Amino acid sequence: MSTHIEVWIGAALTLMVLSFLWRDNPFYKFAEHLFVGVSAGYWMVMGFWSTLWPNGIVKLVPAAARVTDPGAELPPQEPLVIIPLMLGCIMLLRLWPRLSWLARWPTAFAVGTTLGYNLVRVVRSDFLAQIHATVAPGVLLASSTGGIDWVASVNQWLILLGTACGLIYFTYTRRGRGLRNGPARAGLLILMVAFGASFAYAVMGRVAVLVSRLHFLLGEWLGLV
Amino acid sequence: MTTPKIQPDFLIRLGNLDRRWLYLLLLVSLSLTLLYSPLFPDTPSAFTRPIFQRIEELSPGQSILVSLDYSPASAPEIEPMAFAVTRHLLVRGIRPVYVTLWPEGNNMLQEIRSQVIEVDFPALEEGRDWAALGFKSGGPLLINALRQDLSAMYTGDLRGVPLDSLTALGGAKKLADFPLIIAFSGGTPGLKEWILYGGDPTGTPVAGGCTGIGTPEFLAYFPVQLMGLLGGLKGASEYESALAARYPQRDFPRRAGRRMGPQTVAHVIVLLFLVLGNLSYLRRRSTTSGPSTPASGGTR
Repeated sequence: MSTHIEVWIGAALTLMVLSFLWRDNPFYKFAEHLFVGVSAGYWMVMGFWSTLWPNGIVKLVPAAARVTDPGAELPPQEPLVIIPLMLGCIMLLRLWPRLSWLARWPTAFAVGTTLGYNLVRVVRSDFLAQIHATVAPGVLLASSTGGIDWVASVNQWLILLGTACGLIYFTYTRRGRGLRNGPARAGLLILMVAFGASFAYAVMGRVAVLVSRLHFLLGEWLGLV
Repeated sequence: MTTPKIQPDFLIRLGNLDRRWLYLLLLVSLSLTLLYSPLFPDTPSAFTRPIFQRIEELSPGQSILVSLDYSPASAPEIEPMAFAVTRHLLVRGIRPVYVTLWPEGNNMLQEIRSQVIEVDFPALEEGRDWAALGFKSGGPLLINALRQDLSAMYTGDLRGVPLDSLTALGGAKKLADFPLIIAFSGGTPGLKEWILYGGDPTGTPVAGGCTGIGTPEFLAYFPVQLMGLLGGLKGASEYESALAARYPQRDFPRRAGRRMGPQTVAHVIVLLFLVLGNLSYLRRRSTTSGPSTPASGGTR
């Protein structure tokens, strides 16, 4: 059994959280509130020291770099950093009802620049490249032998047909009757299989986390593993 | 008209089982399996093999970029694969250059340092055989900057050693100078950002590892935009088995492989109760007379 206080605290908090499986109780509530509080504090501190300090304060006042590292080389001053800092401060005006309208300006700026920055890349990588990969040649050749790679080719056709059927299922402009109904039903089945696979992956992830916690309890805390 | 009284049989009673019995069964089964820690045989899948082969093809001394974009919450799934890939790189003499898009990534890097490098490769020297550039904020913006110039965002490594003095970089000045980018991703920003802003614009091959729940999202990028993917604990276990088969003399720990035992038991229990739950539902529906209602398990 562990003799380290931090392991005992970790084990106690793990058991408090797992106690929710029995029913809601004060121990669970305590662990939950503690987690939320510690997380908020942690992210506040991390946000300040990892983003606001090096990207804002230090660039505006280079001498501030020596607050965290007395031997640090002083970076060049970047006075234009005052603009994003001001926009950040204006965003906080949302807290004052009379001036809250001003907060729309930095929000609009952030939304606009993010959209402009991401649009081209997302269209190229998530849209055009995906279409290109989906409609790749129907017969694929094995790179090692040069012959037909039957498994890859069949997979390619399944992806193409599955995508087409899925898109037909989501076409609502006409009632699904006759010829369109078959592909739409196939699309529905393919979507069900995809959701099932996603759910199975989710179960695997959750079980991995549970196993990790049990390993901590049985191993690091009790010393049985 | 009276409704005939139905005697609940085993299957129907099973449908009303308190879920806490299932939790207890799962807890006991997983604990027992963990105590015995069986190692199930595993073989690399079509998603895992390309990463292993690519690293095998690299020449000793080459530098590759490894991004540790995960936190303690996703570490149970991601850390074993980061450990296994690090062991593979270092045993081949390839020099990993670690960066991270997540603030907690520096702590994850510390785990790699203390549990893998210092234990399995004590002779290797930081800065010469591997480098830790660490965290910088910005996510996609950081990747964009690295695409142009590494020194635009990093003046040195985590110890403060200037970039020029780090021989582990192998002279790499920008993202395209690396022959491979491997991103271990527990969420956003992570693997997707490395594909969109790192791999696609530069043509640098991107490989990655992600949580189980994130795997379906990344399968769409395989194999054109993403050359290989380690999906959850299973992907990590597959990589460990490939490493063990290729380098049996090193006898590396198989953390993911050991945890696939409890994982398998949990899957069997979930599947079993999935089947029993459906049988119970069908049984209940077949024994219900009169107009069916959702509450009585009728058709909807």
